[in-house]
Amino acid sequence: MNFGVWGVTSLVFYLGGLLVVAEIAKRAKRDASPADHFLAGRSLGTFVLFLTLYATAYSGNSLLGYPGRAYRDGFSFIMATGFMMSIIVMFHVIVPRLRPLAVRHHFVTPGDYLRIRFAGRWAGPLRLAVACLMSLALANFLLAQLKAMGDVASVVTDGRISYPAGVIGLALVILFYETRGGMRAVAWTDAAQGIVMLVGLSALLGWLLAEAGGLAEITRSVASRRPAAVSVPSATVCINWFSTIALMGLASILYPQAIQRIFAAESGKALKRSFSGMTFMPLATTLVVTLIGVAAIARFDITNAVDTDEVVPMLLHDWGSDGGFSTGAALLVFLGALSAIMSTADSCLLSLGSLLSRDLLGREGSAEADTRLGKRLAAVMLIGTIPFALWRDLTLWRLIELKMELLIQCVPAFLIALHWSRLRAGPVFAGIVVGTVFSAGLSLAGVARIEGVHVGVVGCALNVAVATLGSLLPADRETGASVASPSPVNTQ
Amino acid sequence: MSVPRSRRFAHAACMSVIALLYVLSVPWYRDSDAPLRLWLGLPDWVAVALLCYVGVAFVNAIAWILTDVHDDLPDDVADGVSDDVADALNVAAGDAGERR
Repeated sequence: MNFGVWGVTSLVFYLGGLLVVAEIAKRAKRDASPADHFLAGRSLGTFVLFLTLYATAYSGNSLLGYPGRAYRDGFSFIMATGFMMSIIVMFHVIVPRLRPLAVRHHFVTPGDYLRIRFAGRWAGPLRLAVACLMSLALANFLLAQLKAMGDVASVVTDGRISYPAGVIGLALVILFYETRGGMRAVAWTDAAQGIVMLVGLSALLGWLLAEAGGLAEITRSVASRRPAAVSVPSATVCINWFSTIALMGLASILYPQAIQRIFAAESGKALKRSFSGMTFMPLATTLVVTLIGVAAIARFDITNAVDTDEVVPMLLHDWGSDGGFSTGAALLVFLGALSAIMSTADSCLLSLGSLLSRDLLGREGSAEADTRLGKRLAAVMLIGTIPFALWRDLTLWRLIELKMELLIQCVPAFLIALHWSRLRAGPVFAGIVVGTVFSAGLSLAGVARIEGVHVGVVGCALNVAVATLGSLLPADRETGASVASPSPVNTQ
Repeated sequence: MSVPRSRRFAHAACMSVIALLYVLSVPWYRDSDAPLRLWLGLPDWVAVALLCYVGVAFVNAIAWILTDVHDDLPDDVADGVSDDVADALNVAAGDAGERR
């Protein structure tokens, strides 16, 4: 039996397993409230929380987009290990302050914090603007996962599952188990998927190192094939390196699904322990996928940028075709990659459902009808995203940048608002408008960076300037002086 | 529930070290025409960046251990040390309740 047939068989068994988990999770539900469906009744302990944070953070972007970018750029993409780690560093800014508020006020979505934090006539438009930005970012994230699912499924099964069939079929499976099992199904499958991904990626790198005769040999082969991939980066690339760390570090902590995991933890201690462990995961994952992408330079000659996203599936196909142990190990990586992608997609979908129903449509209740509305909206978004996934013209990395450039505009509304009680809704809203128009306008005009700095980072600087300077001006009391950033004692 | 000054200082020190490691990880101080030299099987500037990130991981883990993540607002808000903040919170929570 060739590798493609093994791929189809293992996929069928894996998807069957997911559906069983969804059914068990459905039976474990305590009630039909949004808190139970979207946050698993706030019951995630350290182990599951850690693995669900891991599986959500390391997605199709990490497994396909990062090796693709490493293949294009060479060793300078080691920056990815740094920026993934900067996310866990930046969580220090929000977790100690947001967590106690979330527990006290029973937050379900990021918008629930804004509802408590800001008052006055601009508070409503601000919540709406943040919800729009977050929903767009999530839809973009979902799109990237759908594209990645299609890529992996079609390449690994030797085309027996076509790209469109992979996108549509796997999307329907996610929709089914997320709708049935909610956050419990997502967290449990994340936990299993996280373990498979970790083992699988390490095995793939091990195979590449063994084939090439060690890391030094890989570096020499890459140097002879493409010298620019190993040379010290130029000043512009170094500036872009700093800019990427700022962009990813600041924006990634504002992923709605990441914020919701702060709410879903069973305790602050569980959160703290999970983050202590998470800080090492870029070394076990991002570094590994970067080295895989660089090693692929010595094996393949890919000229089209979009096709570089298929570096990992192509490696898996080569590896699996060796037969015997190699086939089994490559199948494990295939399932690990697919599961990582699906776990991120389901988290996006779950967050989208809650965000659309509560923050955009204002359904803030705890009734079953609100949960049902969230599920339906998520289904509509997923189905609406599928046609875009079938249109393949952007690399996964460009999709990541676009998403982050939107999310980073929410920095004042959360990061500054949690620490500075004078920040007011009006200036924050104005800042978001200025930052978003600036960065989206330049992106649409085809300008992605200014001297190596992402336009989203420049937009965020403008945004912060407008929000802070505006808040320093005397406020009209009727426009709503801002309320409450929580206690300053816990910042350390 | 206030945090001891020594712990706050240690946390701030960790954050400063992390910032320094990030600045060192980017090879802005290297000549881009430098010849390839391998270290740990990697180009030397990549190995330096990687060691910086390993350092960040350890220091950040220590910083998280030093961080307290409470499940309720810290006592000194309730005790009135930061009355303005606590009052504002209560007003906001009340307003939110009424709106619901």
